[in-house]
Order: sequence, then C-alpha cells, then structure tokens
Amino acid sequence: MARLFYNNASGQLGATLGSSIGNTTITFATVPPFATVGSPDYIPLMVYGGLGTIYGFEIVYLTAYTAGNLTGTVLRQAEDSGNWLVSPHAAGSTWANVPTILDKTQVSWRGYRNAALNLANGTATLIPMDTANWTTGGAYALTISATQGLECNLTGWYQVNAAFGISKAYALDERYFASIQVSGSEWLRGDDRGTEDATGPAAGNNNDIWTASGLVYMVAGVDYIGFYGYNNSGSSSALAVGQPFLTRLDVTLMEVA
Amino acid sequence: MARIQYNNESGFLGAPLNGTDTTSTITFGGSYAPNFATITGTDYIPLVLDAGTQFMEIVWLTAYTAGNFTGTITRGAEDTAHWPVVPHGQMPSATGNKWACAATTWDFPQVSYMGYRTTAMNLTSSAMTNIPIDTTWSYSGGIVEFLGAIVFGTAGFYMVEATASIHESADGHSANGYRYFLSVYQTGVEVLRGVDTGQLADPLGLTCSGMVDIPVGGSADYLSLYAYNGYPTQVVPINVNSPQVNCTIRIAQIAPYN
Repeated sequence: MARLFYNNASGQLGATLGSSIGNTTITFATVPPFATVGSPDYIPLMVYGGLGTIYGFEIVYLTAYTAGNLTGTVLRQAEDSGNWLVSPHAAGSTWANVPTILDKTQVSWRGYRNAALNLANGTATLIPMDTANWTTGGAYALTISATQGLECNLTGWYQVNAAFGISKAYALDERYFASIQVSGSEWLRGDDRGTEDATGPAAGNNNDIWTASGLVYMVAGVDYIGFYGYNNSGSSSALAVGQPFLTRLDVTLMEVA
Repeated sequence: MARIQYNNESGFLGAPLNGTDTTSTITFGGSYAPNFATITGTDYIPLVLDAGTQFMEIVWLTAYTAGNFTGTITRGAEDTAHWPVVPHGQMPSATGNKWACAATTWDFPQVSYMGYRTTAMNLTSSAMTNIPIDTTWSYSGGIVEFLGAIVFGTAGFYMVEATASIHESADGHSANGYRYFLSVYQTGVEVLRGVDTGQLADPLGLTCSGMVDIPVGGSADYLSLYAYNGYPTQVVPINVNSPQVNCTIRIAQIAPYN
C-alpha cells in the first residue's frame, strides 16, 4: 500500500459529492495530474469550501482512478472522522492533494523487560516488554500486550530495534538469536551465534547480548510485533533484565502507508 | 510534552495581541470556538499568526479548555530569528490577523550528525572506556560534537548507530576470545548496548544501535560512545584505520520531541 502525493495538485469539483458515505464517485472539474491509481494505493484528498470553513471539510481517499479521467472512486471520511464527518460538497468546492496530520503522526514506543523471564530451551520464547520508556502517537500509539507484544494501530512501515541479554553461567558456543515476528510470522532475525566466553557472565557488565533490527510493515488493527528469543543452549536461560539497555525493544513509525 | 495538531483549524483573532509579551491571552474571534480538545499537562498546539505577511509569528497554545474562546499562548515560540514577537490587530481585516493550526519548519526536522574518531587510544582492561569523538563528518540542525560527546540543539527522538573496531591481538597474541561490546551513554547513563562479542577475529568489529529520546535541547543531554574490554590483563587499542567506517557514531532525528 502506498499513500501517493503530487505537487501542486488541486482544483474544483465538477459535480456534487453527496452527503452519504455511499456517494463514492468524485467528479473533477478539470483532469487532475494523477497517474492511474488502484488498490492498495490511494491518494488522500481534502475536500472543502475554503480554509476556515466550519462545515464541509472532509478527507477522502481516491482509491480508483484512471489517468486522464474526470471521475474516480473515493473512500469517504477516510481520516479524522471524530472531527470531520462525511458531508455534502457542491460543485465548485475545492479539492487538494496535501498532507494531513496523519502524515506527521509520531508513533514511537520504547521499553524494556524488568521482570524475570526464562527462555525455554529448544524454542523461541516471546519476550513481552513490561516497562515503557516512552509511548507516543495518541490514538495511533502502539498498544502493549502481554500475550502478543506490541499491537499496531496505524498502518505503515516501522523501524524495530531489539536486544536481549542472557544472564547465566554458560558454556562455550551455546546458541541464541533474537527474532522479530509480525503477527506470528518471523520477519527479522538477528545474529545467530553461540556464546564465546566459557567463564560465563559475572555481575555488572557481563550480560551477553543478542540483537535484531530492521523495517517491518504492519496493518492497523491486524498486525502486531512479537520479540522472541531463541535458546538452544541445552537448558532454560534467564534473561538479563531490569535495565533499559539490556533486554529492550523500540518501534518507531517511519512512514504512513 | 506532545505537539498537538488538527486538520482544518483556522480563524481570525477576536482581540489584538501586543508586540512585547512573552505570554499572552489569545482570543479567538467568530461565532465558533476552535475545535480543540482541552490541553493537558505540557502539551501544546502550535499556531501561526498572520501567515503570509510580514507580521507572521508562531505561538504555542499551552492552556485551553474545550469550547472556550480564549487560551494562553507562548509568544515567539519558534524561529524567532526570522519571526519575532510582533503586534497583531484584530478583525475586521480582509487580509490579516488570522490564526491557523499549521505545520512549521519544526515539523520537518533535518537533524543529523555523523562523526568518528581518528586519534589512537586504548580501552582499559576489564572496564568501560569512553571513546571521545574527535572528527565531525557532517551535521545539521544543531547537533555538534563537544569535548568528545554529542550535544543536541533540538529535543526529539533520535536513531543512533555506532560502530567501533578493536585490535584484539595487539599484544602479539592471537585473538583471544575475550568479550567486548559497544554502548551508548546518555548524559552519563548507559541507554543502548550492542552485541557482546568475543569472536576470534582481528580487527574485531562492534556495533550498537537503537532509539533514544532527548527531552531537552542544549547542553542538558548528550550522548557518548563507550566500549567494554573484557581482556583481564591487557589494554586493547581502538582501530582508527578508515575511521569513518571503524569508529563512528551516526545520529538522525526521527521526530521532534512531541
């Protein structure tokens, strides 16, 4: 899915866009400069009678359009419907392809694992974060879930950085790796390596670390991120917890889809 | 603190604003109050006054109760070098005295830093050692190197990536498998730790990455690069060959501190 923008794309309606959410055919007074658009791409349009107009403002998505045509299909009240519901727009009303507040929504979450947790041997274990360093995004903020991880509330591409530490006396070459799953499917895997220090961790700085990072795509209300630690050491392994730099996860929206 | 913005919110002033106050009461004109929710805590709504004129000013609405026609604004809240506090009249005026909730340059951050270390140094045995950055490759938006640390001109959320390389066998022994890792400290506190590795390689590369929040711009917050040397009896030198690859810190603001 791509949210498409054009420079200097605006004009007037060539026909009334009705007041029903089922009125989905938009008519442009002149041909807009858009290439053909089809699912899952769309072009956000503001339709209004002018800046400062109390009524008549609405954000719609042009979801189907053929280049050169005067008509297309729109999704009504596509954004910010708490403030701007579907409303009638007379012929001559203004439309414009411009950013909305959705385009600068700052969705970011960072936190860490504070409570003790063991990685079971021979499998990947979900590592739920239980302490947030920050949460931003308002209604679009990621939602923490003890059973799933972080739930997505705004469709887009997210940068993910994750790390876990192991705190146990281990032998040489015990295998672990960090992994990011999206809705139950592994999407990113970090370095798959064994422990190197046969003496095992001592106190303080000696918690061995595994990381995973990269971009994921998530759909609002559907997808969630799960941070997993895989342990093939031969026995259950305790995570290094209680510090923001040890077993941690951050997820930040890079681009709205 | 959250920077709150709304679609399609603008209007005219209902009372003039002087050109001297640092904090003022703004009066919204017309028959309808702005469609803002009540502002709580340290949240604010940026407003642009008289946009498109020589009297443009950016103010922050810091206190407002839903449905009211007045609120409290911080005057000259952004870009005062270009657009300082100025007086604003009131309607009726066909051309000015307008307010709008609109994006400013603040909403399009281009804040980044890339720097590295070129001067040889050793990592202390069995300890964390600060690696001061001594060369700036590029910077924008007010991030600078100061005394080896990175100081921020603007609060925000930042993506940080760091690398370092060490000569593990500098003492003449083969690579030893002792443990090393790279960390990022924020104002003296460790906030990011990279992979803890002791793989048998020389030079040995270390990385560290993640998000940090810098709540206050200026000198209040700074980032520093540290590395841990687990070799119990030996200092280990930093590899400063090709320093732009081997001993770096790269920072980019993802969003202003909202």
